[in-house]
Amino acid sequence: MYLHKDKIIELLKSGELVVRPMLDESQQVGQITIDLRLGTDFLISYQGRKPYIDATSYEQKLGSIKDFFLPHRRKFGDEIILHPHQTILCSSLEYLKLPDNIFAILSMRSTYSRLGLTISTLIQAGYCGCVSIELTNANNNPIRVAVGARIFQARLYHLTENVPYSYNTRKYVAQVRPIPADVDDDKDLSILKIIHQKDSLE
Amino acid sequence: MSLLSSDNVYDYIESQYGVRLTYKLIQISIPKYEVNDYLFNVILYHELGHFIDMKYNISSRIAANEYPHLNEYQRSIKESHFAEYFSDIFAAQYISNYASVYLDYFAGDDPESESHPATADRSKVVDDFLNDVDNQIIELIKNATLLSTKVSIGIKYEAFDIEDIISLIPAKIDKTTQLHYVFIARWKLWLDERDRFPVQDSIKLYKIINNLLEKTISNYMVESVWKDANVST
Repeated sequence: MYLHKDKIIELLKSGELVVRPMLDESQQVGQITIDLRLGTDFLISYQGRKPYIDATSYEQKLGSIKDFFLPHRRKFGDEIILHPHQTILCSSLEYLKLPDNIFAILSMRSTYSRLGLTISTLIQAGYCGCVSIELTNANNNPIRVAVGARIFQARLYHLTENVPYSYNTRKYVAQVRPIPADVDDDKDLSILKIIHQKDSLE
Repeated sequence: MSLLSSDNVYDYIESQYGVRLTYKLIQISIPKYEVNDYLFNVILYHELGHFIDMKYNISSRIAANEYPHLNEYQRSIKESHFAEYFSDIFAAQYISNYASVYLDYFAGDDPESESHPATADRSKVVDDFLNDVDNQIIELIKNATLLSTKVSIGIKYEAFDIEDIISLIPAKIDKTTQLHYVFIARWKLWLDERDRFPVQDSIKLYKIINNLLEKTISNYMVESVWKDANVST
């Protein structure tokens, strides 16, 4: 079930849902969404000397995924340019804490999706932190975006049962800037690696 | 840290770029790993105290006035010691005794040297300052500082509620004086409140607390500029 405006405001007032900073609640809380702003920290993807990003964990020779991204910080109110087909990792300006029975789906505000900017992010129930978002410019032209602009929107869904976010076992807790993918922490990949090595020997 | 204090530089910048910088520039260089570490950064307040001292000649004035009978070498030692005491008190105005706590960690037993007083003596001066205990060193520093800078020595931080941080939410602050308390909060949270966090792993928690305090600061800065811009439109 989607949460509507009155319920969102009720949760914000009770402190069950936290959005900080909330610079302009009257603008940011819509009928079924909360607008979120582009944060000040970025990881900009760039082509270095390594041939590809290895998301298999079969080989460690290519080093960390971090090596394919350049950390970058802009002032609130400054601007950043996304070049055609470039992906950057950014984060929401707002730090969120969701209740254990509410999760969120993030999308671009239509003003920005019409320019060709795309994202795809789910926020787990109980999550706390700024949201790491992969932002891609699918347009053939560069796009200049204001840091702090309301470019994302979150739709909140109510769950019938609590699904607590386990702070002790989760990878991403209380993050305040974008974090590159932590592929090495994916246990499935270790199993797949063993299968791959066995196959290679046969 | 280095201070760009010469007025000639600021005159040159103005002549070349038409910009008069209101404040003196200080360059701070610290290891990248410690940039977001609010536990260890407390020591920067002490180092900043040395710049204030150099700018206003506070320790040299005390040494010249109080020890005219000593030879130059002996007086230079007194000056160095007062420079350290001044910087310790300067820091304590903003971060309580946490620079001393940090100093105790790696130099707690250090005796007096030519450049520094004994660590125990420095801690006592800071404690006396914070507890308003009569102490001749503090009196000399207070008087010399007021005379040189026209600014009184005194507590310059205000506390904020740290309960939100323990619940993994950035704290909400609304005064510049509360920004200094971020560093005090960092030490209090680490030394006294660690068991109350919903995260047990120490390394993970260490980063989480730094993150939450970083967001506390940046939220305050964003809210301030947003408010100012809204007032002016």
